[in-house]
Amino acid sequence: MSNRGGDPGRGHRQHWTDDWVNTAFALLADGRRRFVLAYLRDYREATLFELANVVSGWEWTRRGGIATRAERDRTAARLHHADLPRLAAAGVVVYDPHTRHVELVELPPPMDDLLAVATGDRRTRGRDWGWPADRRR
Amino acid sequence: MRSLRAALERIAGRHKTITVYATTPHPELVAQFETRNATVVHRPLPAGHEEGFVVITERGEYVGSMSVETLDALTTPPIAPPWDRDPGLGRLYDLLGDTLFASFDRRQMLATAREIEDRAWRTGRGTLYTGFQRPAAMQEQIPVYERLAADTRLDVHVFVHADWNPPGVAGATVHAESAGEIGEFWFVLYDGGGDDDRTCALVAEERSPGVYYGFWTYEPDFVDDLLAYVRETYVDGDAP
Repeated sequence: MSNRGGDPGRGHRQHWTDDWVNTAFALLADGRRRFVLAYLRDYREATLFELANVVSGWEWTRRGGIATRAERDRTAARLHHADLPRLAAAGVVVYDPHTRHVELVELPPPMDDLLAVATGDRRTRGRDWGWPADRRR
Repeated sequence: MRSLRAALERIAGRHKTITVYATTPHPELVAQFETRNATVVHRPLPAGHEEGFVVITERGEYVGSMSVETLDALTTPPIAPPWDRDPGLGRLYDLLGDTLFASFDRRQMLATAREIEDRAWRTGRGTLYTGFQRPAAMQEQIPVYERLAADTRLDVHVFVHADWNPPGVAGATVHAESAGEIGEFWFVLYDGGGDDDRTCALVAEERSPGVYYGFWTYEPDFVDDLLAYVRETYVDGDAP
């Protein structure tokens, strides 16, 4: 799914600056944003409500609950006001708050790989390993 | 409402889409829900979402979402008497109201009937109409209906075909009919005891042995129409 070649897409070699690493990790540090990016990686684009349908469905049902219109609308509001503008500010997606349409621009290959590990790599997840004490604020 | 058959036709005209978001498709959902008025669509998710969830929409409007496991549970439900049910089930039935099911089995039918009877039981007042399609089904449910009649202020009416030579149901009124739609459908109608939030109805037809085609609804106007049809056709004018 993440075969994009070595070129981040600008037609010339780039290497990751500290800023980009920080941005990538910050964006991926949230489960909902990871889910949104994984979805857009497959589907490329969505309306706000399509995305809210899927995100609220995932969030509310994975613990055995159900989502109703109220939950879906709350999720749409958070995507619209917080998550999508943040992804857009990083240049990863384009989000038009008037048409409420979001489109993936691109995921730089290192970020694409990180996302794959974070969301889909069951081998890493399944193995028994301990997590060192959390040093982040 | 001019007939129960007209009610089935009315529901058949309301189209729902059940979108299954999962890593791989779930063909059991297609089999259960792909009828004249529900389309099942699979939208793949990346690895790690094998179980998945469904999003239900009607004419583009969002209805709700539940896990595939939860939806499967609706199609293989536990059976418990009305006074002994998991109250969470009500929300699941609510999301799938007004959706035609093409092939419910007897167990699924019974579970749905219990959902209606449970509402009536917990409200404790109002009118409950139940019509059976088979004499054996009626026979099995007599203890439930006798308890509903005895332990609540519900006005319980049971509708059966006159040919069955029906037994009495203590505390309830039995209507034995030889014409019309009685004996052709399994229906359970509850008027909510005066509360629109509690009205509910189930209407189904056994189209082949053990296979039922029908729907349930919580829409007050629709339930009222169904009750009025049964009352005007089969109750009014009966000897007390």
